[in-house]
Amino acid sequence: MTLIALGLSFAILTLLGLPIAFAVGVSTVVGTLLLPGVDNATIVQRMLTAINTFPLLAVIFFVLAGTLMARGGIARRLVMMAEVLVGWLPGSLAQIVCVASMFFGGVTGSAVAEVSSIGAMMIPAMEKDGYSKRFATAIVLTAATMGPIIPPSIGMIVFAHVSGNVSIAALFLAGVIPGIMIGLSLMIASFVHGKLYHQKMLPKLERREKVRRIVDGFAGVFTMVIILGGILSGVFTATEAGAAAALYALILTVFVYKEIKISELPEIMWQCCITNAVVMMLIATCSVYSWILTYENLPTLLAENFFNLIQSKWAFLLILNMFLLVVGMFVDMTPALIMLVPMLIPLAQKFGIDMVHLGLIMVINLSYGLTTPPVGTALFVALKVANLSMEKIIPPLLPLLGCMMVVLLIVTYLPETYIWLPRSFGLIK
Amino acid sequence: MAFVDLLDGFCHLLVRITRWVCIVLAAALFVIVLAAIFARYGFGQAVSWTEEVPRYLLVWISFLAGAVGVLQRDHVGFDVLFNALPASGRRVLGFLLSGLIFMFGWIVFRYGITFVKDFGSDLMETIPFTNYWYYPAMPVSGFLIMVFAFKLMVDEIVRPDGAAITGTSVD
Repeated sequence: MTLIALGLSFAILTLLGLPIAFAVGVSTVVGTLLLPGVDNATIVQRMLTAINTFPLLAVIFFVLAGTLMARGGIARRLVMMAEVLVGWLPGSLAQIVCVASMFFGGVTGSAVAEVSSIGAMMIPAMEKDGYSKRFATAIVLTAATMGPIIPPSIGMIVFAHVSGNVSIAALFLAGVIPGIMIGLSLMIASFVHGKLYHQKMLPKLERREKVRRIVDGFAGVFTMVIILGGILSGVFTATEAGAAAALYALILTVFVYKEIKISELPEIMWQCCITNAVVMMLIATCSVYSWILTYENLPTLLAENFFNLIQSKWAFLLILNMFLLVVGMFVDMTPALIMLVPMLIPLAQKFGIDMVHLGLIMVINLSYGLTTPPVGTALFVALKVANLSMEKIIPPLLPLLGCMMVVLLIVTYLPETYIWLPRSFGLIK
Repeated sequence: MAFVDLLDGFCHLLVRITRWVCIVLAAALFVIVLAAIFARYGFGQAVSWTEEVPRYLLVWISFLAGAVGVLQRDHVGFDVLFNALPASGRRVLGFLLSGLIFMFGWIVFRYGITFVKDFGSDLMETIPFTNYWYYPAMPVSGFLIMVFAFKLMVDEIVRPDGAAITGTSVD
């Protein structure tokens, strides 16, 4: 009864348009009316304790680093470096989008940040070069899914927080190869598109210009070296790596490139506080909701009554992927992770699935969900940047999503393709 | 419309104060975490409170800025059906949804005070201060949520261009 009331109130309030953090919060208040022993004081206490943890500080630091990099011209420099690396391939500008998004994924942990920074630059440039606006928007959008997969990743920090005992470093490292695989799959699609529809090549660059662009772009890529190098060498925790990356971004954009003025910093900091608060309010209210679901034994009920019917690990993984893709079509990554991880962990354990593998599958699926209608927040931003309607983007989006699905299946069923990397650093047994 | 102007002015003042408090706390958070790294590697000294104090700062920043997010409509949600409604329907629904946010703010405010009263006198983990320094983040946030949600409700009534309910994602 309580579970039905909780589920229904959340679904109805969300559909009506109440922001998810508050739809969940109001639903938990409904839950307290039905549950003896759970009162509103518990809600407040649990909301506060949910975010009172050191690893969650990483979110604000990675948001700060990403915002500084995006505003400080690093995205532009990454695009210029990508032109040197892959601009000579068929589908040149689309290839540049894929590679620049891959690098920018190593700077920001958010798909929306990728779409707005890379998209604002590349969609008009691709259109001017003769690409259809629909394809340009679709490739920018799908390439942006690398943001939450290639480290750093806000989604992975949230997964590590909710699951309790999974190393953020292991998750970060696990995301590297799948992220690159997604980039490569989109590059293959761009290659085919270039061969079929867009034979035009970009003008050749002088050798000196190429070197300048590579050096300039590497300054941005170095953020990833700070983050991963710092964490893996044991110099930093994930939170400290975020702070170090933000410091590096600050020095680079304010003092070296001088693209951000010191007077702009308070406003940038405030925007980061708001972005961080949106994530933290979701974590706070969803944690209470998830706690009530666990209190009502939902994970056990699901395991005994529904998932009991599934006997094989492979079938479970397939159903898990399908389920997460559907969830991702309607719900954002952060609330989906907080509410689903406690349900899925016992099931994954039953089938002997490693927690890092589960986390990666969840983050990849839910990243794809950010690009799919009817509710895809990265999709909405891309459509806004391109000034395009939703039905126009679907035809070019489908084959690109198809390429990414192949990567998802490889990652799901052949974990050996990526898991050797965190394993070689001793982060996974 | 003196009341509406007064409410606008009050909300504007609250946002300004909250904004600067958050900026200062976030800057302090940044400096403390960096200082902890320098202290550890530069002076071989691990300072215990540099793990604890940033957490409290994060709590304050999150709940204060989260409340302002209500007024600025920064919180993410599903607004496809909401936006499909005619303007009058959006205003009625917007009013009701803001009413629910107000109610939730009341719960956070009312029970936040209980929480502070019951447990605020406990000591923090590594420094000789009581939890009165950070538990009040909850009732203060609840109060701000109530004020800002109330302003949204008033806006739905008095302003013709109200009615948008959610922001974009951070994922």
